[in-house]
Amino acid sequence: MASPSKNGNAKDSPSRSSSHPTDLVLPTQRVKMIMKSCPDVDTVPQETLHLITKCTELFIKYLVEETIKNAEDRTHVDYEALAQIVHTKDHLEFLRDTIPKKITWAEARKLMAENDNKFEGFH
Amino acid sequence: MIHYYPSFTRHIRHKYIDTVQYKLTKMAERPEDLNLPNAVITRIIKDSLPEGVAIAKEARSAIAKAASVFVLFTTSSANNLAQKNKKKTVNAQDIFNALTEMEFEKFIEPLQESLEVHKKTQQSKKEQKEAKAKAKKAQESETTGAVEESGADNIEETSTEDAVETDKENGLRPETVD
Repeated sequence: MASPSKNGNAKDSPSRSSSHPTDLVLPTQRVKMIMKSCPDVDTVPQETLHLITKCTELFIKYLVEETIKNAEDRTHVDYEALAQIVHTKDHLEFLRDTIPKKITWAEARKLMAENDNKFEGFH
Repeated sequence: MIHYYPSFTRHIRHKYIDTVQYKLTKMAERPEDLNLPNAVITRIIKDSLPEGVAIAKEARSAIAKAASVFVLFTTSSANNLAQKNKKKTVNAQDIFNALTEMEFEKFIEPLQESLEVHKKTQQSKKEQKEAKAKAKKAQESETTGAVEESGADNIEETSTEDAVETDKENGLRPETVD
C-alpha cells in the first residue's frame, strides 16, 4: 500500500477529507456512517474508526487473495470463485447470504417446487 | 421574476425533504445497502491482484457489498464485547477481541502497526500545528513592531498609487497586503 506523499492531493487519497493524509484508502466518513447504522452504536472514537477502516481494507485484500489462490483459472477472478470461497471457509460464513452460490433457473424451479411454502417471498 | 422565485424555493424544499428522507431511508434500509465507493474498492482489489489479472464486474460489486457487511459484522461483535464489560463505546481492544472471536486473528498484528503509524502522524500533525502557530505569532509580533516605526512617516503617501513602491523600498512585506 504505497503511502500517499505528504501533500497527496484529493484524487489519490480520498480520505484526505479527514483533514490529513493517512495510510487509509477507504473514506472514513462513509465507514463511520455504516458503523452508525448498527443498532446501539452511537459515538465512534477516532481510533476505533481508523482500526475498522484499516481492517476492512485488509479484509478485501484477504478475500481477493483467497479467491485467486484456489480459483482454477488464475487469469481472472469471477463471481463463482468468490462464492466458492465464501461457502467453504467457515470464518466467511457471515457472507453466505450476501454472496449466495448461483443456481440455474431449472434448479431454482425444482427447489421452489419442493418447498412451495418456504419460498413465498422468493419470486 | 415572481414565477421563478416559488419554483426556486420549491426546489430547495424538495432538496431538503429528499436529504431528510435519504438520511432516514439510509438508516432504516437494509444495512448492507450502505455501500463503499466502487472506485476505492477497485483500487484495493487491483493492488492485491497479481499483474494483468482481471476481475469480473459482478465479483467486484459482491466484494464491495461483502466489505460493508464486514464493517457491520465487526462493529456489532466489538460492540457486544464492549457492552459486556459495561462500556458504551468500542475501543481498540474490543476490536482485537472481536476479530479473534471471528477467527480473523491475522489482521490484529498489521492493525496494531497501522494504529502506531496513525498515532505518530496524529502526534506530528499536532506538533506541526503548534510549531506553525508559534512561528506565526512570533512573526506577527515582529511585523507589528516594524509597521509602527515606519507607519508615522508614510501615512500621507498610502492613499496615492505608489504606496506599494514605498513599501517595496523600505523592504516591508506586511502579511496582510493581498
